[in-house]
Amino acid sequence: MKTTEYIKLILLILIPITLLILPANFFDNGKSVCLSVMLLDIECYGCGITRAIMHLIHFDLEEALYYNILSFIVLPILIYTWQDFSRGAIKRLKFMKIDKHK
Amino acid sequence: MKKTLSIILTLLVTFSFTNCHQKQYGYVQQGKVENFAHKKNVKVSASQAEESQITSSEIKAPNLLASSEESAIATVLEVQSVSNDISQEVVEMKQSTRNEILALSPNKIKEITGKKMTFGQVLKLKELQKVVKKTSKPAEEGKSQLVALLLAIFLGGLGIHRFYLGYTKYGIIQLLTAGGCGIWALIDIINIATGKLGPKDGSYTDKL
Repeated sequence: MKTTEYIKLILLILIPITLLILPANFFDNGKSVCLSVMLLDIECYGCGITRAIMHLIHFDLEEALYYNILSFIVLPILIYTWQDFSRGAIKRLKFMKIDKHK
Repeated sequence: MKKTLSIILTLLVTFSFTNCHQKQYGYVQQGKVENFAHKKNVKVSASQAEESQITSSEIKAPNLLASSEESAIATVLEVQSVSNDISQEVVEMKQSTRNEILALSPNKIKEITGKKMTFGQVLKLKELQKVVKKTSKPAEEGKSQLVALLLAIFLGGLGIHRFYLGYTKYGIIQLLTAGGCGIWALIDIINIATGKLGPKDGSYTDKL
């Protein structure tokens, strides 16, 4: 139980760091695997959000705007949920420690 | 609680300030170009070619590319508003200029012109690309292996990949038997991935 919490916390911290280490244009080239794009040629509102957020993390605002305008709304929400998850994991770990002492 | 949080925050802040990603662009611009040379869309711009001082025969090709690219950029930057008159202009465009406009992105324009685009220009570029995409002719009919594979994975239980590849009879059988009790669909996934199961007439236009 405790180890899974630790793994969760480590992953939560490692994911943004790895995304920051990778170059901003890491996801730009390559084929789309989205079914709606490949079969029907329709792009939904989520299309390009990965690329846009990848550029936004590296403070490349123009490119982020070019790939998806909604990334400016999504990134703050993403950051909020990220800190919420990691804080929850830390809290649970602390409670486990207290139980052990008793 | 506060201690761990502060440690994590300081780690993140120090990392974001000291990560060498921003510097890498400055140091190894040549290396970056070389690294991406094997990919399709990346072209060496003229200024970079002059910096590296390659022999004249090698410079010529990038120069040509840059000039035609610059004309496409000029058309993008000149656009005042994307409306009906513009779409008429777009209809008369050649296929090569269409492809160049579709391949453009803010960073590419920044590399060639040396100027940052404003947000308004970025939005105009996006709209123009949409119009160009709408008015250009649809690509040639052909069957892609990737589409067939994805259909087999996601809708294999209904035999949709069989309809896509042209085997209508087998498709109906798979539809009624839930993909041959799932086993036949599984076999089809492997056969499509290895290339054994192709379209009924001819072969795939793009392969994996």
